[in-house]
Amino acid sequence: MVHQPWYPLLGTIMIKVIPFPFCNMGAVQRFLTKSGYSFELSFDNLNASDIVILPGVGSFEQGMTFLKKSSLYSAIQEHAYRGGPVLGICLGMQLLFESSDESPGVKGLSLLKGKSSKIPNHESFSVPHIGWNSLTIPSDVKSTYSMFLAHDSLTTLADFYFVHSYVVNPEDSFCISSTFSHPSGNLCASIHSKSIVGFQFHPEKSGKDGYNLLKSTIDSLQI
Amino acid sequence: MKKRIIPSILLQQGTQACLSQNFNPWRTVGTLTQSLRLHTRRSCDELIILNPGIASISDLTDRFFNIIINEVDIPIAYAGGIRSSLDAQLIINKGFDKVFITSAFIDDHKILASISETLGSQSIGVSLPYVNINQEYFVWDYRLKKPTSSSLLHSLHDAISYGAGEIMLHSVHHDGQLSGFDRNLDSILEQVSSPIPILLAGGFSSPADFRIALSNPRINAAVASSLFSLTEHTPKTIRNHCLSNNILMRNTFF
Repeated sequence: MVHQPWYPLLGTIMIKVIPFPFCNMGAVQRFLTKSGYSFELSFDNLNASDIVILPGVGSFEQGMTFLKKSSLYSAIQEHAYRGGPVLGICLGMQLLFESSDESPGVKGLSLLKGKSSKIPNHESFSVPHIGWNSLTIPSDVKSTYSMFLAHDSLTTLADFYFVHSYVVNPEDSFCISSTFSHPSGNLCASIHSKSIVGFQFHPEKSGKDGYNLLKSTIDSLQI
Repeated sequence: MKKRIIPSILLQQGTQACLSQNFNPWRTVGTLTQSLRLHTRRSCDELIILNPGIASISDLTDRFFNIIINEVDIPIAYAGGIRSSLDAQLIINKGFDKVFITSAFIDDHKILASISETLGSQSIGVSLPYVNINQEYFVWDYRLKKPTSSSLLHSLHDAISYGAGEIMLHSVHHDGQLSGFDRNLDSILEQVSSPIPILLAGGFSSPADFRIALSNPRINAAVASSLFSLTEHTPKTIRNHCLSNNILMRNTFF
């Protein structure tokens, strides 16, 4: 079923949302509907220009089990290998990588090299990391990799909502487009590599600031 | 970490929002829709829906979930009637970000472990209503309207070990009194070794209350209801008060 807004579509973007049965689908759908995007929860007729969104919430093993059982595992991989845009949010971003210490032995989508590990324990930093936090744009990052963040002043002034216990450690640190502060050092808050974008935080739950960031990201991902 | 200000909305008879005193509903203040609009417009950091009177989440209607999805673009948690990981999954899938359990945890800690394994600890919290009896703290059972034999500290440790991602401590004696929060919890909080986020609820009556509570490094969030309905204070004015007192709070651009 195609969800289409009653008002004119913004361009011709078709968004395919992975229908994880255990994630905050309603929040993503709300963003897409309110922002005027056309989207589907089905993966029939996946075109190279379609934007695939992997929403968050859940455990790494559960996420991968669902993708494999529903035959979406290879569909997403092929889509990404063809250069199709993929956007992962929270757990959805972690699934883009090879593995996670949360579920040892479970292979991720492996679109990017690296794995997720538990946020280091520290007496002044609560884990799970729940709440609003600010982003820092790495100074050594290539400008194209941070195109969604560095040129957007809202990300340096606004906070975004995090709710997670694990954090991605990409092998290629250049794909890190923003970080959040931790007593042991800055940790990955978002990634961008070619047509793949991931947010560890939840822009769809970060109020107007999050909606603006997500909208500019999706618009930029159009092929 | 930024400290959070969280309005709670107590539901009665479906989608009526009401206030409580000592965990007894006593005054209707509007509808769920009105409350959600009011709090989000006033720039709160999160919301919690408390629905203790519901027997099962199957009693929640599509209309209820549609209201949540249509009105809320910030984090929102739900508590009430959750008895299994399937219940929790359904709540999250319909638009909530986190769930809190109380009765299910009191009855069987394994339910908490099951939800935590399924959804991840970051999506499950435990709400522990408590009473102070002769300087000893006990968990309070909403269904029986009386304290259990479980000490608050013991239950707190159990909640952490069974996989809770957050814990809300809710003083029954302070609830709805607008007389200030429970300032005697330090002895309990000092014995919590895990850096798990702790939310404090019950009795907040002024911006100074929030400032004092959120200055405590062990408290991550303050949860309040009556204050936001019966006084001029809003999450935004309270956040500004905390910011002016050097407490790390959320920044917004728009």
